[in-house]
Amino acid sequence: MANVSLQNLKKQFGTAVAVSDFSLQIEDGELVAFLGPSGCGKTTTLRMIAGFVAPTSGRIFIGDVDVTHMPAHKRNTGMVFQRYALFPHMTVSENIAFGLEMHKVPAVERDKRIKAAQDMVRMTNFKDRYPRQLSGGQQQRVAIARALAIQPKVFLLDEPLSNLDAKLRQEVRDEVRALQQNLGLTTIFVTHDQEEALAISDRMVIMHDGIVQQVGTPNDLYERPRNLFVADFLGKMNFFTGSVNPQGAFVSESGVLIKTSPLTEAVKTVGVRPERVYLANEPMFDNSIRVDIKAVAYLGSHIDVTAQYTNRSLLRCQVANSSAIVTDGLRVGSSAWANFKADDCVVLDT
Amino acid sequence: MSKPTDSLVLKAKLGMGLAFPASVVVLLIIFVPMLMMARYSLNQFSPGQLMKAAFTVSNYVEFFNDPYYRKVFLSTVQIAAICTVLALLGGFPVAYFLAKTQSRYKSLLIILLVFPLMVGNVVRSAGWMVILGNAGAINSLLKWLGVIDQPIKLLYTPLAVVIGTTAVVLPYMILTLQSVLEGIDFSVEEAAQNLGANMFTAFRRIVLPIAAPGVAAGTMLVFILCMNAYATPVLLGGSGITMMAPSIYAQIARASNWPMGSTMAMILLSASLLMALTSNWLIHRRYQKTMIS
Repeated sequence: MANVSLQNLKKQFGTAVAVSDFSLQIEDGELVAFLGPSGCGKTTTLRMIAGFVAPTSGRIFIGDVDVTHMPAHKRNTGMVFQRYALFPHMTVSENIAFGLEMHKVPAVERDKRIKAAQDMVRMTNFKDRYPRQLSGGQQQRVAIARALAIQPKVFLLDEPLSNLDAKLRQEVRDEVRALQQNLGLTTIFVTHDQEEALAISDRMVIMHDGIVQQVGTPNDLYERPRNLFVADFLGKMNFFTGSVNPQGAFVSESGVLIKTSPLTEAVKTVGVRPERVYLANEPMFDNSIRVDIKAVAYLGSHIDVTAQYTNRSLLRCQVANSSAIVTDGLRVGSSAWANFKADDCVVLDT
Repeated sequence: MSKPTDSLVLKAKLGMGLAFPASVVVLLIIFVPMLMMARYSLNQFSPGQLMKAAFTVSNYVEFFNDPYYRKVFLSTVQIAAICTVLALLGGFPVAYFLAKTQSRYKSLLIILLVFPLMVGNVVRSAGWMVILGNAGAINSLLKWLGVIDQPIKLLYTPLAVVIGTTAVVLPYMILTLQSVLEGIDFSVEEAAQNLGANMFTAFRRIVLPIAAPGVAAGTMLVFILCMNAYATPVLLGGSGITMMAPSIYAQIARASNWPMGSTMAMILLSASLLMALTSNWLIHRRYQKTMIS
């Protein structure tokens, strides 16, 4: 295993800039997620690290070796592809054996590793099956085993769970995380699914249009987003645009005064997460807004309430389904107070 | 449960009914003449009449005993084999490139590929005559460059036949290969490289085995086309080289020896099929456990 250093990576296709000035230090054993909408550059960056795309400028170091211009097959990165990319003309064992053969691992060691890899992903009973005889989840596990059998320095995953159904996705995701931690693998995980990224990464990189928006732990990024894109992209957010008045208080365009902390003159947007907005029959906390309930969506574990204030603005509130009493009182058309604390607000100067 | 099966049976009958006219036409146009030729091949040749009704294999015996006929047969097989190999070697890179390219000109390139097929073999062979002839493009160029004094004999040689035939079958080979290669998910190539295989190893161990069915199909098609080539060998081969199809024509149209002509036709038919199927079988066997389908 090794650390990875990306220095000012840039990739341009003609006039389109896919990745712009990407720099990052990934520690040995860390799982870093690249998260962002389609086309944000996360897969391109991953492919530059794997060696399938040559950077327009910038450098890539694996361990202390500059691999920027090293061909893909020499980099010793193990990659799991979105569509598995298993060799259809080889059995599960043969698929796993291929990398070991390429790395000239002696036969005895090779057999040991194949067996270990198969056991690790619980595919031992399928070792003589062909990919077409396996389900999506099984194929993905073989792909993981195949990538890890060669004991790569870096483990790369390109949206490995996108083609799996929801339940399976969570299972495989947890398995990957468990494996990664047990083996201490330096891992880069590309995904467009926030839940995945939040759930398993040590750190996340959020990208948009080729530019890194913010890097940090899941907690950092969710609780303290540093720009509008990150605040809006992760989870849901209620935004109040406005400005700080001469008296030093933030007033939204709709005329609502909001107490936040911290508060500086430069603040232009204040945000508060729906789960931090408490609907009650009376005002409480630092901020209380009188609202009319417009829509109630029952989602099982929680309830999404859309409430209206000052004629046109909407506020989203998330109510935990902790008891029937709480949820019974939510009726479309009724009024309530939407309360939230100053500490729970996110302030942005854009 | 009777209703769904009733409608299924009705659909099947309807399908068969609709296919009937076309099947009859195919039967009449293709199989009946072939059966007739098979019958004629067993007749005896008699110079005055077209043929004498008989039931003899003497024509077949004569064909295989006569060194002249054997040579015709072997030349045909040789040339067909050479052309097939050349088409494969030349066509595969093109098909590979076409299958992988994302270029917006892809459709255009494919049309360019198919274009020559619209022109027709005879016209294309005429074109080759202009290029390969003693006063043709190549000889004129070489003379002008001072490389030669006397023209090189290119036309009316086996080489000319090989060039002309390969040119004709190349698009067929490319299109067959390309359609198979299109179906390959090329991330397996990347996966192979990621696991330590260089470009060539990845191609040899991964892409090629997966493409094997396509290669087999393309080879079979092209080989049969080459074995049965008529216009190209006649126009470009001249008297120096005799192949089966022109020879059959000569037997039937000029020598009026229908039994012999029919015999040769039957031999050509069986030989082409047999050799093509054998090569197909061999390729399948070689890549048996490694093939997808």
